[in-house]
Amino acid sequence: MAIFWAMLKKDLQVLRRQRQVVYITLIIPTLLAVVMPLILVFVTLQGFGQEASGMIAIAPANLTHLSPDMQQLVILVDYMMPAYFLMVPIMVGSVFAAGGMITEREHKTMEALLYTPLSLRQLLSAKLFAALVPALVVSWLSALGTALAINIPCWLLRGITPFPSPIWWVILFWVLPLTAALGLTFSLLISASAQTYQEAQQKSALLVVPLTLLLTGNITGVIAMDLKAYFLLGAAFLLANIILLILASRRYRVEQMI
Amino acid sequence: MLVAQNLSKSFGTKQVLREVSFVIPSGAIFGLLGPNGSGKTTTVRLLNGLLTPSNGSATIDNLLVQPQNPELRRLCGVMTESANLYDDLTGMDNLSFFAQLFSLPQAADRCRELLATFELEHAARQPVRQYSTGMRKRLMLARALLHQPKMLFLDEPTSGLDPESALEVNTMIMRLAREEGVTILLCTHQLKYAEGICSHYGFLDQGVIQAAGTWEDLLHQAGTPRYLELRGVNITHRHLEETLDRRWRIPIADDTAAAETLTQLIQQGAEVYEARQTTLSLEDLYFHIISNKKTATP
Repeated sequence: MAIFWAMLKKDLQVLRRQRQVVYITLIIPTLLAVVMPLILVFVTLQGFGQEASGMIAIAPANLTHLSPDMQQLVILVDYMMPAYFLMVPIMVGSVFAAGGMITEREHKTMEALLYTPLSLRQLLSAKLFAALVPALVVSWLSALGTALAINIPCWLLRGITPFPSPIWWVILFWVLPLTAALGLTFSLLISASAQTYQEAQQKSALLVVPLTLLLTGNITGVIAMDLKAYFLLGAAFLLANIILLILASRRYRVEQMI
Repeated sequence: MLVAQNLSKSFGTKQVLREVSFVIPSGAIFGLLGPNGSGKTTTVRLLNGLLTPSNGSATIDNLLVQPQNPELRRLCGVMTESANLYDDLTGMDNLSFFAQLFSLPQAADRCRELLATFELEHAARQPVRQYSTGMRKRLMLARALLHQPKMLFLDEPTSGLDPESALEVNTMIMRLAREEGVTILLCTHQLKYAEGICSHYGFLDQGVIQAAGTWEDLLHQAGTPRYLELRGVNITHRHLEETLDRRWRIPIADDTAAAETLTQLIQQGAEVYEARQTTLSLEDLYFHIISNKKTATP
């Protein structure tokens, strides 16, 4: 376990000097987890008491007992925002993983690691750990930002705190870690062949596509993700992580890493 | 002791090493000499299990060289330009990180000891990006020695160093071999440098070992004679040759023959003012062997 912490400490010391990594890990969570929810919540609260928007038309059946205003707020917080929010762990995870692996190659430090007694499996595990921990910390801090961005205006204007609902608890402690891990494992797979950090980042961005589809599905009412659906989504991510790890471990060869 | 037997390595259709064989006795400093692109780095990577040979094998202290063998990793230390330091970390943090990967007990003490040995204590808290070339080389050597390896691979350890730093590094290398019995494989293309520090040599050219062994072995393999060169009068010998600078020289086989010949000459009434053995320099010997091999190869 000591090598995992040593790798984490070293990677954080190296990555804090990488401007791209620092900017992405500051800008993406701020935009997606704070600014976006804040704007959407304000717009929704401003519409309270006015004519019901189109959102009501796509409200799931379990919300019909609520007033139209509350239905709008719940649809926003529980059905639309998670898809935005989950882009944070997936992107931050991929940034840390690609940063950790590719910078070793770019800075010609990988060979020095291969001269240590670590097996390839230990090395990759330590690298994943060193990326997962900061990805989770940044994602959970982003969740705290989301909580404040939603609850402060709701409390001030309506005296309610809609965050976190049961769906968000499942997202924060089941889907979020597996989403961050998905960003990591996918990025690890990409990094096996990518030569530059930019190349790895561009390819890792593909992972946002399923979340964008999820978001579109939620907005249009095609998909209504409830508790059960998020449990299943987490399970699907878990399976995807296992498959990606197996594929990545097969793609890494010491000869190709130097 | 390191034994390499018929090591070959191909990348696709390109053969980089061809049946490379040599032996490095324990405590010897073996100079692997050859131009850039001759296969020195590939040899080091093969001998450390980073590359898998297409053919052949190697052992270090009777341990078969295999990929991902932690026992081998603890036995060997490697200093090479292709295994860089972390520029954003301090000298101390660089050493501490690798000490942890080697699970060294009392890692901090060992790091401080090495920083002191290589006179880097004053820069221990500075990021490595602020280090001079000499300081970086010394830190790389310190990192290679962290786990007290019995076999050390050094790639151009003194290139880019000022004469004073180079002397310090060389003294350290020779002390490691002589006093601690560390076996050293030193890659360089600087023949004059190798002549001053190595006890054994291997001439690598286009992936092929053209000759390997001690100085005596190489002279013998090359068939280049040694001479007893003399200045004096009344010198008579059946193999006596006159040199261009009006001296005399007699071909000899070894040190014993030199002593016997000199005694014999004096007993015969020769008046010898000066006597010395002459032979080719390492540089001359290298080019002599390489050009002979190229001529012999169709």
